This record gives sequence, C-alpha cells and structure tokens, in this order.
Amino acid sequence: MPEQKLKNFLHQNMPEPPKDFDERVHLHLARLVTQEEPKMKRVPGFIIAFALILVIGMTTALAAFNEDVNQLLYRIWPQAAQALKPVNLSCESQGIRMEVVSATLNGSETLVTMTMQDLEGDRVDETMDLFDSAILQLPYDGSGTCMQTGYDPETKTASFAVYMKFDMDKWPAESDKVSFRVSRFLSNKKTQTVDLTPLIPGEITETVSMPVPAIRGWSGSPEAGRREAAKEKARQLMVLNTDNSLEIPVVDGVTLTGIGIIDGVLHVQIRYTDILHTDNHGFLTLSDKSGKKYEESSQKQEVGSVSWFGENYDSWEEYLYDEYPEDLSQIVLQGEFTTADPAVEGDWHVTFPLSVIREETERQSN
Amino acid sequence: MSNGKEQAFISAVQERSHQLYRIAMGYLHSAQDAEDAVSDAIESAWKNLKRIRSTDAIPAYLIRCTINSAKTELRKKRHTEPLEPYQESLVARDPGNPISDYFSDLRERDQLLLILKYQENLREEEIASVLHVPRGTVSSRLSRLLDRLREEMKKEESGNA
Repeated sequence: MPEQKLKNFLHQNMPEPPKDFDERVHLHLARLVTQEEPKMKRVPGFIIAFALILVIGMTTALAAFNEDVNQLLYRIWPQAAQALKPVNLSCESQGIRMEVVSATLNGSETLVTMTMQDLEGDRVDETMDLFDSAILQLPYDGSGTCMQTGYDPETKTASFAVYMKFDMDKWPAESDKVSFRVSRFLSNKKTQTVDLTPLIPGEITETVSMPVPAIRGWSGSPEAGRREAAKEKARQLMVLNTDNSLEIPVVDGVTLTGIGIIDGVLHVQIRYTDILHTDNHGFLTLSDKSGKKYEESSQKQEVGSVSWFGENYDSWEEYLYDEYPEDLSQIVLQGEFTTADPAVEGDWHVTFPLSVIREETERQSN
Repeated sequence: MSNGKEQAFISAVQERSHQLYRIAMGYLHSAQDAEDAVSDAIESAWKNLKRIRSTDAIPAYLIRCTINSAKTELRKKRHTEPLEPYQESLVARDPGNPISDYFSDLRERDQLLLILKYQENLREEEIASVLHVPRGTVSSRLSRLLDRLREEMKKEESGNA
C-alpha cells in the first residue's frame, strides 16, 4: 500500500525534538501565561519565584495575592513547582546582586529560580537576556535554557527560571557542592522597524565594488543541485567598497554603509556593531511605493546576501536584489533591527551543598 | 478570555509541541531554529487566543502559526546561515529510497499536505483549516498525490523486474 510506505518513510525520517524540549516548552508557557495573560494583573517582580515558593507552601502570606498564578503554574508544570527547594543565597559583582531563590535537582534535571538586581544603575531591565551564560555547575555535560519570568521596575530586579539537563554517568556524592554562575548579560534589547528610504542619499547608481572579504555566512535560493555552485558564487561576489562607506546611523549599533548597483544588481550594505557582545541583527524588506515586495534572493541571482566580520567583531552584511523597481525613485526600503547595549560582564556565583536541592526520594534510593 | 480556552490552549501546546517541532524542522533543518520558531508560534497564538473562534480551532491555528514562524525564521536565517549545505525537502532525503525520491520532487505545499495527513494524522478538515483551502481541495490533492505515488511505485517495480 502506498499510504503505508509513505507513513513508514515519514515516521523514519521526521526528526524528534531533543530530550529537554518539553521542559523548555513548559518554561515558555509559564512565562506567557503569567506575563501575557490579559485577565491577570501583572504582578511586579519575583512573580514566578514567589509563586513557585507559594506552591510548595514556604510562604502563606501571599497565598491570596496570586491564586491565579499558582493554579496556572500547577497546570503547566506541577512536578517542577512542587519540587523547588529554597536556597536564598546571594552575591554581588559590578554593583549587581544575584540571588538564587530556589532550585531542585530531580534525576538528571535541574530547575533554578533566581533574580538579578541592579544596585547602582539601570542595567537590569525587562528585556534582559542572560546570553547563554547562566549555568549550574555540576561535573557532567549539560545543556539548558533560561527565561526571564518577571521584572520589577521599582527595585530594578529581574527574575529568571533556568532549566538544565545533565548526562550523568554516576550520581553525585551527598557531600558534593554545586555552584550557580552567571558571567554576562544583555539589556536594553529592542526590536525596531525603521524606514530606510529617507536615509538613502541622492540617486542610486552603478558604484565602486570590491571582492567580498572572507565570508562568515551567505544566503540564497538556488535550485536543487546548485547549492555548492551558489556557495562558490557567494565567495567570489563583488560587494560595495567599504572604503566609500556611507556611515549613516540607523539605530544604535546599526549603520547603513552603502547602497548601489553592481552589474545590474541592487546592493544594500549594513554594518552591525560588535555582534559577539551585543547580538545585534536585522533584516530588510524592499518594496515599491505601490506596496509590491521584492524578494532578496531570486533563483536567477542564487545569492541573496553575504556577511563578513570587520574590526571589533562588527558584522558587515550585504543584501542583494536582482529584481527591484525599474524607477529607482520608487524604492521603499525598510529594516527590522534588534539591538542591545554591550554585554555587562561580571562574576556572579553562589555555591551550596547539593543536598539542599536534591530530591529526598533520590537520596533514599542511592 | 474564558478559562476553558486557556486550558485548551495549554493542553494543545503540551499535546502538539512535538508535532509543531517536526513541522518547523521540515523548513529549518536546525534544532535551535525549529525551537525558536515553535516558541514564536506559541507566543503568537497565545496573543491571538481571543480571536480563535473555538477551542477546536486551536490546534490548527498553532500549526499555521508554526508554519508562518518557520518561514519568517528561514528568511531571517539567510543572513547568518553558516557555510554548510542544507536540504531543500521538508524531510531529509533517503538516497536510494524511491518513496524519498518521489517525496523530494514534490512541491513544498504537497509535501506539507502529506506530512500533515500521514505523519501528523490530522483529519482532512483540520488540514483544510491549516492550509486555508476548502476540504474538497485537500481530498482531491491527496488523491492526486497518491495516484502519482502508485504510478511511481509501479514504474519502480517494473524496473526492478
């Protein structure tokens, strides 16, 4: 039966998610339901941490305060909510205080709730991103995810839930200690849509080009079987000469550095500042004044964009359009850019005995 | 928003998250990007929960949001794609397997249709809702695709005989 053969093929070849995917979905749902639910009041600060502590009965004074949140958390991820144990240890670095509020080690999985508070400035905000630097240090390979769960502007405190899963070849000893560490974070993260059209200086004309420097990435839509050839084409591409850079600021960390035509193809060049310390990035939309959109990469051109590193990890990115309005004065160019302040670096860590957060059932079984 | 709708949403996400991941992976071929697309889709669907007409419509809406997020992610990804090859089919090619050859030669919309029907076991009316086409179109496309597959298999068998 062809249907059965098709089913077998799909079952064998469709990828399944990684082991800790479900937990990340739980965390995401928890954040959405507690932060975005229009019916509930947005409770400032510590929302998840408090709510989780409430759930395990550590505090009763706030019980009425967040009944809805408790119910929702139980519905979303009851096992984790019940298992969290109080840690309440803090440290300070760069004028920023980190507190590990509660944590649990359950099998090979850990969940930590923690807060960061700026005691001196405004570096902690509701857009804060721990930039993959939050880690519970155990002597095993592990991976995880982190999510901001609340922000209190009064106390400049952001709260997070950090989930990790470890590949444990043996159980840790009862006397082992564990450290939770954060080494850097981003804040003031924002995504802005900017109309670049008024920034384009004068007429768009044939322009000076240079061979593309060593590329770090490229994009395109070549036909099947043309991928390698298109990649080679990207490596050999002529791009706008950076010596004639326009240097037109778009938003903080994003600069329009060139726009022109090379061999009949429209090139737009953007520079993103220090992407390794800011995670700045973006994408462009080209259309005409009637609203007709032009795709960045067509089958004909095969290469839609190239990018390369400049000084100080600036990323130069050049977008190519082989189809664009015949009348260049009709061009409408928009960009959506995500930027952040340079990462704040420090050494925030607390250490506590593993027994504090380990599930009782596991201790008994060892 | 009714509490029943919220609960239906949470249940739908929990029940369907692997399905959403597989669909996103079909487009993006990267575990990290697929997860990002699923996260964006869940968030987008949550924000629009009020607009979803009934709890029955939530799963199809989640799938549609996932396809949209994956396509958007694909577009953004172009700027940072590393220098490594990627596959164009929604399912990894299995060289030498005639079903795989048949599947990879189909248009994306037909591949998606077969995935929703035979991998994700969606009913035809659900598929119609995901793809924004009449149910009759789903039936006729499926029928045509299976006819073509039968022909391909016959050719393969006669070639081997």
